[in-house]
Amino acid sequence: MVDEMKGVFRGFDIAASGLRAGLQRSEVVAANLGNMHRTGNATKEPYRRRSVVFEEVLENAAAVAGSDRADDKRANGVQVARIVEDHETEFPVFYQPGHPDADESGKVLGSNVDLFQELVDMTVVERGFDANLTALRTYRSMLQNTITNMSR
Amino acid sequence: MIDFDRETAFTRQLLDALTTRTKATLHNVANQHVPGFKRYEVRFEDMLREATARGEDPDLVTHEVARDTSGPPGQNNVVLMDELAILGKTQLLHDVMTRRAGSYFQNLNKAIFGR
Repeated sequence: MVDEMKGVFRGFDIAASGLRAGLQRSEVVAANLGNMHRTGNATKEPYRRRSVVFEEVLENAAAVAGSDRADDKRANGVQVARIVEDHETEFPVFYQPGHPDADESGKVLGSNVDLFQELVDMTVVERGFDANLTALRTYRSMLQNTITNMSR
Repeated sequence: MIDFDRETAFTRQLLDALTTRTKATLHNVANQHVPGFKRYEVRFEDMLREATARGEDPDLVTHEVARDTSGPPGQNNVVLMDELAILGKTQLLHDVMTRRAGSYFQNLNKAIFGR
């Protein structure tokens, strides 16, 4: 077996990658909330909801994710694979004549951001962030205990 | 003659397994929102049990990293609470083993220097 996950500081890198990914996701949520009132019409597209797709990072870049060969690869945390726009949810239509974006029949397209969905996502991001931080603290105190316990 | 390597061999193997397990758990926690991710597990205790049952030397047992492919295919199988529980258990055992190694060297010190 090739030495897997060796190196004391790799643990910190893994936890940091989780924190970084969580932060990027919260930025996308913030962008969604900030742009949720950006309207449009048939010619000008309103704001489309964005979401983040994560992927696993393995040291061997050529490795196929999801394969069960774990022994010759080194687990290295998580990263943002891509940010996708939501093309499934329809834009809501409002009747608002006189609005700058209204067409000749008075209809305005709103963005497809769902406020409550974003608030739930925000909570999920927060929980994930906390979990990564707790794991990081545990790892740190394990290393600290190694030093204190073994050098008496 | 005192053979340090032999006397601390088991402690070293176990500490090695525990550190790797912590890193695997960190990786699992970091990947808890990755679609289709399958968690890593580090096997040591059951391999130790099997080796002792076969009458082999427990000092030679080394841990093994494996993918836990349980759950529906293509679906993430990380349960955050389980990972945190593993983390807590591993931390406690790690603390015990480092203390054990520390007191071993402390006893040697006493024997050699009388303090």
